Amino acid sequence: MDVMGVRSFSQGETKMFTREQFTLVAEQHMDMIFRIAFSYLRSREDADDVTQNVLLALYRTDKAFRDGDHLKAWLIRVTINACRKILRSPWRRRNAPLEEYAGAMPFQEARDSDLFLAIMALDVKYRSVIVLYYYEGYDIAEIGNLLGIPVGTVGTRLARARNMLKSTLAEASI
Amino acid sequence: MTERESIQRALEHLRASDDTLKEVMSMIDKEQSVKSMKRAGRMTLRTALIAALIAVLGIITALAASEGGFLQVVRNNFNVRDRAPDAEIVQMQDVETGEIRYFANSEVLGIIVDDEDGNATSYIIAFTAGEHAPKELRDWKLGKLPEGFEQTEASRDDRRGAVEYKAHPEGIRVELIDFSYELPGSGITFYQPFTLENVTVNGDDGVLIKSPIFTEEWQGQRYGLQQLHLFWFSSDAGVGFTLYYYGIPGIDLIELAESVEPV
Repeated sequence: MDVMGVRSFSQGETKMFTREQFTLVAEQHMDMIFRIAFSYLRSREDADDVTQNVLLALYRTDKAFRDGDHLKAWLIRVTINACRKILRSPWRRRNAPLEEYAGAMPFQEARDSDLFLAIMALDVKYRSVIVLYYYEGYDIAEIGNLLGIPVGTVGTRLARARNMLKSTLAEASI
Repeated sequence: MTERESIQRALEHLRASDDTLKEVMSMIDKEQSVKSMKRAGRMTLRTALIAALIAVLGIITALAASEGGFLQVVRNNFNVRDRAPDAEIVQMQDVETGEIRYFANSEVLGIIVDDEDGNATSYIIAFTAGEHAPKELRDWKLGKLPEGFEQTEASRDDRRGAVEYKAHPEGIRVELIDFSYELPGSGITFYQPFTLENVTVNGDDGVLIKSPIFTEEWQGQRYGLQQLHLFWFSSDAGVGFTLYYYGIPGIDLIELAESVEPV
């Protein structure tokens, strides 16, 4: 099991990454962090804030990651926790209309836009599962571990989310 | 097109802002600049922020740390210096109420809590899996308590069990709240910045919770501490990593851990 290298600074600090290594890792994962954060918060501004904070946490941590998968799972977990915290905050920013944001996205086809809006119209517990399963490619057991919920609950949420999406899109096409 | 492909196409345009990384690097540069100043003997950013906050709240006097035996034991037993060479405990006094509050200027020491008399009664420290801190705490707890603190009446096995208690991973999930928790009717407030989420954000694998050092059941009831422990206990299942407890007043810790339902 390879452990990602640790660099010691002269003052006694211990950091996982050099600046260059951090930049590479951040570039590799920041869109994923943003995507998950957006799926929770439905706000570009909040999702950007979370992305920045999670990357800062990554830079600051002295945690040794076994491999890329371990690092990615850590980032997702930190992102989810940060989003949950924001969702509970009374100071949360006001959301810009989702349609307005979607309208600025370069969708190739109208059905992509419809599906995006349909996903974002789901409750957060369904949105998060959809993103992790379909986009990030985690299986149900892995999602259960990431979200801290039973596997059966993940499966139920996924099935319900699918049904709701199908129902919404079917209504839209009528 | 498969279901997965459709959803991926719908979500593929969700991307972080172009200046995200630039902003992050800028914050890192500022942070390191502040650290350099601190090494030169100046006030840390964290302390400055805390001081500024306190000032805004009308709390004016910030005194240098006056570490008692308890905090010294924390330092000696928890290898704090290895993980955070600059860790300091800052004592601040509210000039209006005389209340003394303790803060840690490092994320390693999460919180120091005061009681009505201004005594440091509790702390929380994050640790990384495999670190020897929990064992050292246990060894310390099983040994002599620091000067000025009462010996609890719990048996040796009780204490060991309390320290080694781990949450059941299948426990009931609860929503976690920011850790600014006022014990009902007691006037005791637990201060930021500690939250259980912080621990995860900081990359730690667990939390050690040291309870206030009270020995009588009435003290626990007076200060609402049992409620606090229920809160921690339920939080345990929510965060999905280990919380170590010890020092619950007036009740058997193992009994609490095994028999009390999460709230």
